[in-house]
Amino acid sequence: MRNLYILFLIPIIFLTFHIKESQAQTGEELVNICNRIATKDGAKYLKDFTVKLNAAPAGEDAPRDKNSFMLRKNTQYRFSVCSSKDYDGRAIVKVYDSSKLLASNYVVATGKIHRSFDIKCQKTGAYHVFVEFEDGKEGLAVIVLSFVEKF
Amino acid sequence: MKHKFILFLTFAILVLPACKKTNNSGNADNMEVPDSVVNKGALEVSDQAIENMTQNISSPIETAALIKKLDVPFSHDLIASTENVDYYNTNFKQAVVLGIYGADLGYLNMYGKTSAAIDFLTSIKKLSNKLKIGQFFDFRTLKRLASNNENVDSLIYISQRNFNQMYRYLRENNRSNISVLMVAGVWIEGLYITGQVYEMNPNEELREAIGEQKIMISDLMILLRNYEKNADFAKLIEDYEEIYDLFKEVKITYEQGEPERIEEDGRLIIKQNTKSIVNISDEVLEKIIKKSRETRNKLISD
Repeated sequence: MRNLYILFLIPIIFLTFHIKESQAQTGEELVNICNRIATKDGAKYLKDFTVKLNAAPAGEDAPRDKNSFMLRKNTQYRFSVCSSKDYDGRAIVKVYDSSKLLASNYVVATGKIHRSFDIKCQKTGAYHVFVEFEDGKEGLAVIVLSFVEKF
Repeated sequence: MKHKFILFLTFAILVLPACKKTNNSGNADNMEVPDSVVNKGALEVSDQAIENMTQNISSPIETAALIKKLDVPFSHDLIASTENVDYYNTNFKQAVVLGIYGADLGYLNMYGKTSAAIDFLTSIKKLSNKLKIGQFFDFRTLKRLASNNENVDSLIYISQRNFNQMYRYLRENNRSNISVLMVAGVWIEGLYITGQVYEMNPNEELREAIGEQKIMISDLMILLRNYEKNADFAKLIEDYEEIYDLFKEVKITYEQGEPERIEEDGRLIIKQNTKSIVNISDEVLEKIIKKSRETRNKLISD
């Protein structure tokens, strides 16, 4: 009887973990979702990167990830930000031209975190892109850079 | 006893398949990397920096988009011939030409020339297989998309992403030398096409697009010089150095301005008001176009 009970329990435990695992969003799925959102009005995918950061230890600044993108003059680009639903953190992206903040999906005045933002670039060069998660929470996000148009 | 057996069997059926590790990279783990292509020795630039620069330099989409925006019709004469694909016997040549074909594929895709793109995809498959990175190209999907003109955006997404994944894999496997060569190929082909289009349709935007390559080539030279001890690289560096010297005559100045934030149809748009201004003389421009043509033609000759 005891063995029958275990026999019944093992598949339940296994299936519970298996279902949870298969429902977790992978970085790959996020890239595909994010690209669909980014390019639905004809924008063209250029590159992506995935950021996974742990929660900030108490009293410390939120950890952040740094990347660099080359943007060209007279070009409109789109930064699409997709945060994984498996984590609490929502990604905040900041684009710097040298040491000067150029753009972000977080608008301080309204407190709103946008899912994407466009940059109408007028200066060819390398731009630094910093990513952190709101309130230093743990998070996983994909950032897709796409080309909107030449103007 | 019977229950124990059933218990064991249930466990085996449910748990053992879960032990199989998923590998999205196809047969990457079984790949044999020839010694000749493995990057050896201390590098001046970190592999992460190489990957960043690599992906930043290599964007054939934007060059093609500019040409298309100027209403310049597609020209088959501008792209490389794939006839020689079987004669590229060294990893060095295969990697450079793979980059050149990648840039041409971007040009074809932007113009929706999907039947010609199929020919390029076949050649790209051959070269990437020779370089043992073919597993990153989803050729079946790409060919299916190329056969259907309505899916050009997906074709661009998958092909561009496959190239990016390849660059990442090469870095992670200590083969950044191959990705650097690919980028050198993408870059020279982009410059060549822009130069040829400029000669046929002189235009201020194309002129500026050529001049601003000064920024890209300075990064590219850092990448190439990393491998200058290799004889093939040394020859390539010599040619690119000549182009780089010409670009030193190009002046880029900046006009400062504050960014503006606007909302259009609910979309957040940031308009940059700092501008870069490119100054390039006719003489330098002509020399750059000539030298890039010579270098590119030399690279695609077998």
